[in-house]
Amino acid sequence: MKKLLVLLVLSLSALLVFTACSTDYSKEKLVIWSFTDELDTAGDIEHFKEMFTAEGKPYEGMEVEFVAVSIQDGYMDKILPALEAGNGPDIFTGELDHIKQFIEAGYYADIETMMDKDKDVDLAAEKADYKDYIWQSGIDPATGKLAALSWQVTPGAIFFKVDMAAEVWGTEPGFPAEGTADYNTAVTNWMNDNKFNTIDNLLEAQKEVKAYNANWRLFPDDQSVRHFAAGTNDPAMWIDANGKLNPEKIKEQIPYINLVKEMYGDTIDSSLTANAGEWSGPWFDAMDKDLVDAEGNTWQVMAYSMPTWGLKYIIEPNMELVDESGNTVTKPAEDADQAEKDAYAAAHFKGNWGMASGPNSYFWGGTYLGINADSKLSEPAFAFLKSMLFDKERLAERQAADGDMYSVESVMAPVIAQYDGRESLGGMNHLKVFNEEAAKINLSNVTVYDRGLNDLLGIHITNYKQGADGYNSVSDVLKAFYADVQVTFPEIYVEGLPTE
Amino acid sequence: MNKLKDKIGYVFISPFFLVFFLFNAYPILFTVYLSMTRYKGYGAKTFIGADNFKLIFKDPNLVDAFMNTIKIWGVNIFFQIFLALLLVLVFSDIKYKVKGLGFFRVVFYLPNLIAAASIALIFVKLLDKDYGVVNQLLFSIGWIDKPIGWLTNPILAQMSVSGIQTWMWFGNSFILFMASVQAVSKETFEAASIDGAGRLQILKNITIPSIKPILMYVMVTGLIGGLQLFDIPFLITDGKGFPEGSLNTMIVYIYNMAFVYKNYGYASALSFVLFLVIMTFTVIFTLLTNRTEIKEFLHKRKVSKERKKEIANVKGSAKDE
Repeated sequence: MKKLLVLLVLSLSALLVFTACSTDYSKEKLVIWSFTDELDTAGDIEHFKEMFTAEGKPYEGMEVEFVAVSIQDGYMDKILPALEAGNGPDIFTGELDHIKQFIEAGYYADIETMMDKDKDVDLAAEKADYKDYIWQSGIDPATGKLAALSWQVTPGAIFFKVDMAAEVWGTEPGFPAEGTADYNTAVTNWMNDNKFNTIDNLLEAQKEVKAYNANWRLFPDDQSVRHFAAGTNDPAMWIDANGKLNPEKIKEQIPYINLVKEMYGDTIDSSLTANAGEWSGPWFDAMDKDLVDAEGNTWQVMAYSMPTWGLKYIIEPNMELVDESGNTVTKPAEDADQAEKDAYAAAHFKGNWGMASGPNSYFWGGTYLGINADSKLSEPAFAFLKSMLFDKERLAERQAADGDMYSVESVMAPVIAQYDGRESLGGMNHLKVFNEEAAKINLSNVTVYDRGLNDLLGIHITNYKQGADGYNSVSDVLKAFYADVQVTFPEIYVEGLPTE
Repeated sequence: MNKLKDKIGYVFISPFFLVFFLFNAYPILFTVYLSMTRYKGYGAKTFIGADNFKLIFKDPNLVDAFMNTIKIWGVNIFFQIFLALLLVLVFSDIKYKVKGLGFFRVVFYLPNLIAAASIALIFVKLLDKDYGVVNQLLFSIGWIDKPIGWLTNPILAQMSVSGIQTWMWFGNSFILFMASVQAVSKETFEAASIDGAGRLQILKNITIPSIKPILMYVMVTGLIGGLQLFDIPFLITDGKGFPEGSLNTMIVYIYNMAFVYKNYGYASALSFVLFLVIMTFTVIFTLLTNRTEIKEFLHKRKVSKERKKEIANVKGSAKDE
């Protein structure tokens, strides 16, 4: 009788295990949210379906719902309440400052342990393969484990027009002669060493451009230098060890405040920039055209600060194109005749741009992936991450299709080695430069307060540069900033912060 | 049976109260609760009592944000009503007999139909100091010799936003006023005209009294909407409230506090205070603009009470007898 009972219990247990193992995924829905439609347009969702939800695959019949909400449409305002209410998606993306919030709130699951337990994933090898700053920035400080990871790496640079630079500084010692092999790279190296290497030189360079030609400007507006506010690759943290506003970070900002003040002018004449606000019409126009102001004066801009994606999606679509004889081909109107459209389609980049490093390396943007800690579908969710982040064959195909910078060494190393160079940059191996820049970035000092504090300080710097009432010195800027911090982030405010 | 019928009435009116509770009362109560917490929009809500309300007294931006809102609203509401009244005067004048009222109604109302985002984008391009079309035009006709900072000079920026708001809303006021005026019979205007009344007399004695309830409605809703001014200043300045914080209105400030700086507790405290301010303003405004009606109402109530008292006295005396 006893044996029969044991047999019955064992049989029941086996039945239960079998039932649990054979979850019917055709009734489940994996929900993915992102702030761009890239996962859809780049084919990542389709790839996942082919690998995991198609007939005969582990999650056969499972529905995959993808929701894209842009940041402008309130991605964070929509996803935070959903996560807070426990109705969040199984997988969701974020930029660096978003994921810092997700991690702090405990919304992301520990994917490091999932990687460790998965027989198809070699945790140590993956860690070594990913760019260190990308890996470090996704770690949950509470557990010390990885919570989010990005396949992208988005270091920034200063893109500049080589021909304009040659006119301004062509006579200076060491400036490469035209016709030198790999000319754009040579000019870029010279600019890196002489004009863009420190905040002081960056300011001096702006003055020199204006002195050379009163209608030329180095940058469209002062937002171009905001990435260099720290001026070092080892910036101080906004928050100190006691969780309060860090006086060292404040001191670090003072040269930047002075730089912005000196760049500003009420009119373009009196300004060191073209007063063309970032993302405005004139800001785009100045990439390949002379700007014409309200008075009818013309202005030319030499350089833009942009990250990896900025080259492909912002600058190149607005670069000057030329025909076989080197004549500029202008973009045809919608109703232009076919010959004109054909000529434009056949035109190629003039190749007159270089890509330099600024006083410090910086990053801008990037999409991180993570799994909802409350997801009931953590297994298929991790499978999605595997299909996107650890399937190197797929990543290589993806990189070949979009030409972007990826954070995976095994994918990028062969691409960089075999790269012919970017036509728009005169054949420069920009991927190699970006790869080197990415290696210098240290994100261990980024906090959840960074964007808010930078925004708050930025408001007072703008008031100072515009000469608003009560803003007569850097000290006034800092005092006003502290008064704001006291009400906006009372938990980090502390008395006795430096005022000069 | 009658009692049941009476109770059924409550069922019919319950949807309103249900919707009101869900979408008005509950958010207000929840805001009050949030205002007493420290909350980042995620994670735990820490109860901190009245700390957020105490912070209001330390806030260096609050008075400026409130005054900015009042200035922009004040200029806007004045011109919005002035322009609408002027047009009502023209279109209701029996001597002018202006035709095409239907067409003009549509034309004047059109700005109200355009999305605020598009309007902001258009005006940013038009009013740009260095590259804008307006300055370009003024230069070309020789009216200016240096660019005007429509959106970079603090006072001009506030006036520009007031102007945009007026342009968006005067058509709406005009339609409401015109509907009231059209309810008055034409004969009244004709009779006044035959009796020798001038245009101003007709405006003062016929047009304005006929639109008074609507005028009050426009002013009260304008006040409520004006104190909650958000979209145009936010979109024009990308939420920053430049220049010199002159376009930082109360709601822009509250929005940034909650959704940019993630201080939901303090933003809720500010929202609740603004709610009280708007309510106070609305009550004062309603009392001031309805003085006669209120006096009449109070007088009638007094008379009615006295009458009831007299009747009771009479009844009492009759019983005693």
